[in-house]
Amino acid sequence: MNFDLDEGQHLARESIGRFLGPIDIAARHAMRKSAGGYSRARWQEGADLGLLALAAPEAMGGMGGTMVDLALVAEALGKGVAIDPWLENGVLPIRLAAAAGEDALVEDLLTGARFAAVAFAEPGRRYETAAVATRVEGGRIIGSKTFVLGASLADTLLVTLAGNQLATVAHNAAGVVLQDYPVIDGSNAATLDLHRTPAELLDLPAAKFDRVIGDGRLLAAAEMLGLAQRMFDDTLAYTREREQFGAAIGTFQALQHRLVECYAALELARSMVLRTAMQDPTTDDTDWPRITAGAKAYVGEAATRIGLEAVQMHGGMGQTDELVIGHALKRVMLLDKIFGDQTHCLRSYARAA
Amino acid sequence: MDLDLTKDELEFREEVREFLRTSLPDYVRDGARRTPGVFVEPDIGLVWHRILNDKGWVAYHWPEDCGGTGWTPMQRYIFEKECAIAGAPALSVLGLRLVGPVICAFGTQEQKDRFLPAIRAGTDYWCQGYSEPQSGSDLASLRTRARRDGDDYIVDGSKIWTTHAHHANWIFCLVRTDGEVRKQAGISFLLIPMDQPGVTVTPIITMAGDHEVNQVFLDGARTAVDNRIGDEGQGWTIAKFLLENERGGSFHAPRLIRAIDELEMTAGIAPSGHNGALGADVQTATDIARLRLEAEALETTELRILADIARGRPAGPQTSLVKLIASELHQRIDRIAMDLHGYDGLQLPTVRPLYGNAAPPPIGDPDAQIAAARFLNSRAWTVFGGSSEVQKNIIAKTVLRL
Repeated sequence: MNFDLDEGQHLARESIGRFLGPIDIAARHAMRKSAGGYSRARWQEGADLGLLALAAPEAMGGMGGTMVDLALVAEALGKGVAIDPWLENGVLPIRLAAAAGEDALVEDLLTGARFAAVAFAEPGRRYETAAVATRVEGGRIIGSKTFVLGASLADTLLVTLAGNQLATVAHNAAGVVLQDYPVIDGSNAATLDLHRTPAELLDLPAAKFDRVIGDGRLLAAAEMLGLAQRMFDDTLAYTREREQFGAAIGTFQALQHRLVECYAALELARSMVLRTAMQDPTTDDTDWPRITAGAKAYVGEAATRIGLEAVQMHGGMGQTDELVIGHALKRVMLLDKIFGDQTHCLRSYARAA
Repeated sequence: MDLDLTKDELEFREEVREFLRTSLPDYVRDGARRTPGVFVEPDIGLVWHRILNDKGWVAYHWPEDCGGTGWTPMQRYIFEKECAIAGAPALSVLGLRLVGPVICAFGTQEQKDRFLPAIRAGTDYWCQGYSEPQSGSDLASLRTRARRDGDDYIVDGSKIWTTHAHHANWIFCLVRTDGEVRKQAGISFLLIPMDQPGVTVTPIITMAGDHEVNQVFLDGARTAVDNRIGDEGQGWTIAKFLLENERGGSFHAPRLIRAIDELEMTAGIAPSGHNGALGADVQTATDIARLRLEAEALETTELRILADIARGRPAGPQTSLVKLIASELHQRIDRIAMDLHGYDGLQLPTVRPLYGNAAPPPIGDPDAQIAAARFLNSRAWTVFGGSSEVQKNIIAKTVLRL
């Protein structure tokens, strides 16, 4: 048993730190105002660093990172409050394409040549992950999707279909209707209506799909852990320097005890992420989506609590869009719900227990 | 980064399992399971203590030169986990975990020779004289005084919440030997024999009806100066060393996880009163799921601390974090355990023990008989060994540096 990072993990963490740099709120606002709310040039930089290749198997030209490797990347991105949709537009489409055996697509995605958005959620089905209403009819696909993150930037849409299939759809294919809308972390999602859209159809067995959802859950938890660490660090620093009633507010016991509770929640959340990542069965084990659901519910609760406390302890400044903590909290809110919110994930975790 | 055990560790685990299979008597296991108090009584605990001593495993966290096993931190963890899974009683901490390590670390060779073998053998039974009626969380304000009289100290004062003082033949006490200096600097650490006219023990009965704690009155109690551990005025340093051992000396998660396994088993058979078992009720299932996630996160946190210790880094204030979380988890588990049993969970037998032939028959599930008493006794978790509020103060000061 050991909890030490290996050399590759140290290097990855350092290079992500350099890639993200210090957080520049003005630059962040500017990027969110640009077309699509993000930059493909920046995405390419991340790809060049190998952040995407890490998520792909070696047999498909990737670096075959373990869940521990990937969780550490997600955590580092969270800690730097990265604006990059690494999880939803990087890891998720790459692992779905890999699960469907699409080598060429995997290669295009991990080099940054192609940018994909994944359409898995369906309207009116809340956090159900399996596709029901989107389906193939006469060789073309019909149906509706929602919460398609990064759709406006995508060259390719990966659409989950009833009957354990995955469709790759060109963003400008016939019958594709995308309706963009802004979401809480400042990025864009879209609703997607498919009217007899031509697509390439791939088989995606349920066990392989569920495995990818499990990966997504754990990495969402890991990114939330990094975000929570950032919000906690910033808040601790603030309570040491902010003076009221002639003393640093961090000397007040009412705040100290709440900070200790946040610290405890943070350390336990870190344990949960590491534990779960180390328990990766590395197969399509049916227990993986369940234990990752538990981990995500647990970490989501901790990160949300820490985020809300961070806002409160920053007082008036905490309400503004000028501090890092607000941006971090908004990203937590999104990650807390992706692939199922706390209630949904806790039920999934408990059901088979 | 991995959670794998080495080949040697796997072999050690097998050895522990085999030992538990062959050496843990059923009546000891049953007694532990049917004890509603925080600590098992000596009639159960000392039996197990002596079995472990015969095996040479009882003082497994002591340094080897004091009669310990020389186990690695990982071996200790494996041992405790297997003991928890097997349902072995928790050993009394007072001699083995509290005063024993203090004597190892601060005692003279004569003191080690006199006291340590008797702790291992279970022939001395210890209690702890820390808290006083006017000194609870503010321990350093203690007033019990010791003054020199030739080769003796004469001790006057009172100690309270003294676990198992009614079974003990020795008490280790924090006493004030100097009233003129800063309050922490005037404290010394004395070992005092209980069997003497100057020592009186009065029971304190808990809400649950258990007699675990007492008030101890010291009226001219005598002890030899040779029974002082460390120098005069070194008591506070020793006290803190002991408290860190008390908070962090053992692993909490294995026993908590076993208790959660039992909750799930109970929920699986307890009727919901609507349709089917309680375990199928979403609220109950998710309540228990939350406990399990917290216990698993705690287990990994304990392993992270263990990995630090194995690398020679001191655990220090991290033990406060573990104590804080484990205490609340104990309480949440015992609360749900009582709730699972419905009306049956309200029974509160007034006789003890609840094991053996004289025990009254339970109403409903046997676990229901002790559930209310466990719930009540469990409230002490967030008070003893430094209240949760004190732990938070410690973490705020030493970890967060506020």
